[in-house]
Amino acid sequence: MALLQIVEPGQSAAPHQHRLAVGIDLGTTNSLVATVRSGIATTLPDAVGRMLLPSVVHYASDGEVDVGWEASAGAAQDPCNTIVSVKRFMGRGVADIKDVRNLPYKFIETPGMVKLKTVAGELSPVEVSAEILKVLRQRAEESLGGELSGAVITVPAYFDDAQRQATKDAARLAGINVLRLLNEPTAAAIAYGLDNASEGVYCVYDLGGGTFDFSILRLTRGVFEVLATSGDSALGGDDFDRSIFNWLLETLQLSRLSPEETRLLLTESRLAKERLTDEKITEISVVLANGLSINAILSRESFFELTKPLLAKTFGPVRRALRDAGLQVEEVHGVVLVGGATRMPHLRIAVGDFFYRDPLTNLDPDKVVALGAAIQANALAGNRGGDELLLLDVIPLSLGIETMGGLSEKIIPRNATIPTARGQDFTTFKDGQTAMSIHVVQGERELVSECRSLAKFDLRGIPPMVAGAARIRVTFQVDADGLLSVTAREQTTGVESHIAVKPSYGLTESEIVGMLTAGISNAEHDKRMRALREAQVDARRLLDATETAMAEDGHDLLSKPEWNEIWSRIYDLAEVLLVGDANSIEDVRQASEALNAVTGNFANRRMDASIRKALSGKQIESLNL
Amino acid sequence: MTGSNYFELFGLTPRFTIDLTCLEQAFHRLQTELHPDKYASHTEAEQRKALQLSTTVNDAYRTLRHPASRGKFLLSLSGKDDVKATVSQAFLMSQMEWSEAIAEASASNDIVALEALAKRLKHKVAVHEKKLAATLDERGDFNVAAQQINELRFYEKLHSDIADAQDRIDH
Repeated sequence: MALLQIVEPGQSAAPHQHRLAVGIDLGTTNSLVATVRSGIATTLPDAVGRMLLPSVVHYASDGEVDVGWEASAGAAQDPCNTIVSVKRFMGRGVADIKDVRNLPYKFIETPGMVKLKTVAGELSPVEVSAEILKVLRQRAEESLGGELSGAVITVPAYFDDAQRQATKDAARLAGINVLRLLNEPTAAAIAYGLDNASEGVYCVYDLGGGTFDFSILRLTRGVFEVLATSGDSALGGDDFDRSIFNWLLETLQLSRLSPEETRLLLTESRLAKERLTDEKITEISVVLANGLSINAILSRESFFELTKPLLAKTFGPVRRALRDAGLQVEEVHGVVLVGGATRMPHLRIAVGDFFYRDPLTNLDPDKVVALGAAIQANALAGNRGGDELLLLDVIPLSLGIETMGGLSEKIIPRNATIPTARGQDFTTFKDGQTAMSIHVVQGERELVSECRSLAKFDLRGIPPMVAGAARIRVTFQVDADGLLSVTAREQTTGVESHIAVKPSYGLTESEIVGMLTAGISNAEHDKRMRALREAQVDARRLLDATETAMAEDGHDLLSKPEWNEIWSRIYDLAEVLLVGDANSIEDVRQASEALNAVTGNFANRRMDASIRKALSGKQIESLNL
Repeated sequence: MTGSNYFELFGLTPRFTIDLTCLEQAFHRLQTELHPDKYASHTEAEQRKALQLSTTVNDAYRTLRHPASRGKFLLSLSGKDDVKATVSQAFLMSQMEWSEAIAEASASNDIVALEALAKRLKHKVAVHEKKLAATLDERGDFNVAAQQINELRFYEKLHSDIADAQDRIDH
């Protein structure tokens, strides 16, 4: 039993223990999981050797949930209960979803995010995504032979706060500890850059199933610095399929298709697109449910002509990112292509023409994102060989607040390096005013109505003063996952009312807890076991982190009494964990909190030591950090 | 962190003219130690501290990297950031001409004209930054510097107007 290892103070094996960490590419069309083994990033196959997992979830009437190939194969038979491309609905309302009427699903408009009506009930896209993640987690744990310590999950760089939060919630539902949300093009750049020992300015052109990202990075000696990112979170390979689909409807004068026929034709359209990568001409032939057989011939040239406007749409964001980075096309050393859709020959030609150079395609465009995520996961888990890597990413869309007249005032501009924080002072408008509303939005447009609303909240408890006397400092903090948190406090009175704001979109904490406990059983005991398991996992992580810290710096930075105090709290927590009784959940929490409480100063000293190291001996005292 | 130590943080002498390569290297060195990624498997207390420190370093880097904010920061170091700076009538006139030219090119979706304006503006800004460097580093004249920094910010506004117009046309 691993816990016995901590009984000998200072003899812990924790620092050299290899933590099981994976990178997950949660894609619109396909998903993958990868890990670093013996220093090499590799994707993990399923039981029959397939790397890709189609991001398709089927809910059967008997309660069975299928994910992947079987679900995908059955999509045309039961389209309403087979959720394809769920990523397009993450953190989105019905109004945000393109082509709603052509999709076979029954959407339900709920505050924050759509739900889908299925035979398994009303499901949030978060729950559907969690099913995909669960399968990948299981695949990883079986293949690595142990419980995962954590995962890096990739998201399109152009995902806004709501979409990121939804992804993180899905991971939590799947029982995955998220080490970091990583932008897909950045992940690709890591895999590519480390593989080729590249230096200089590189662009990543990433056209996935449902999203387009374009990022510009500067690579210098293990530092991956994102200079600018742009994209379109509702443009992808799916749209190229849909062009063929629409062309079929038009040329064959088809109308009023059933959901089953729509799904069938969409799938055939996608296959035709894929065939045109290698063939000059292709035939689409399908027999519809009513016996009507469809035959059409599509040439590569017509397909190119058909989808030219889609391709052209990607170059707007490309030009914008170059402008934001202050770069000319000539200054770019290489362009990496990522995403299955970048296999299309006319796309490769168009990208090559734009950059005056052939794009780089030597890594599998389907796998490169998962591989980069695995490398980052390995580094974040603190495993050997990961410490030379530094990633400096940016926020893709500006954050602002609503001001008079429904205008957005930018607080944090797009492409600011994260983590970042900005403070903004507000004051009262009327005498004796004790509350005010703040509306946070994300996007580049001037009008609030054209940006994404992230959070609306009221600041209450402002001391009554004359108009303009109160000074309320609202701080917007964007963390390394690109997620926003907002805090506010009134400064003139000395009484600081400090509030943390959870954005109002997406799922609430109680909804997530509900989803966590639903499905297993409603029995009170099961709920408690589940909650206990979460607390235990957190506690083990805390033990692991503390032991590592003690072994690294305990002797140098702690006095004897402090050392003893921390070890005694470690023992307490380890003992509580060994009990493992469902009644001990409060004990686990209390022991964890007690350990956290005694390590606060130790954490500060360790950070100071890090700063001293970074400043190589400069006068740290004068910096007052 | 109190802002007064941004230069010190990166090991630089507080001057307008700085070696941007040195700044960047120091920035990378600091983030290599302080970035939250380096603390992903540490205790929550350390993670919070890393978030805070890394945020400060990013803020400091952004302030010093851009000429206008660097200039303004130098003024605040010498306690002159509240100097009332006015810009001349002639400067305002030239700003209006710029604005009109941008609006005109924007209205007719003239990408070539916008690109030409961006180039001209870049040159103008470079000349202006040289003047500001001399004012601050050689003469130490904070009153004139305050005015020149204000002018520089006008130019930055023009720059973002051009970029906005280009974004709109691209969209």
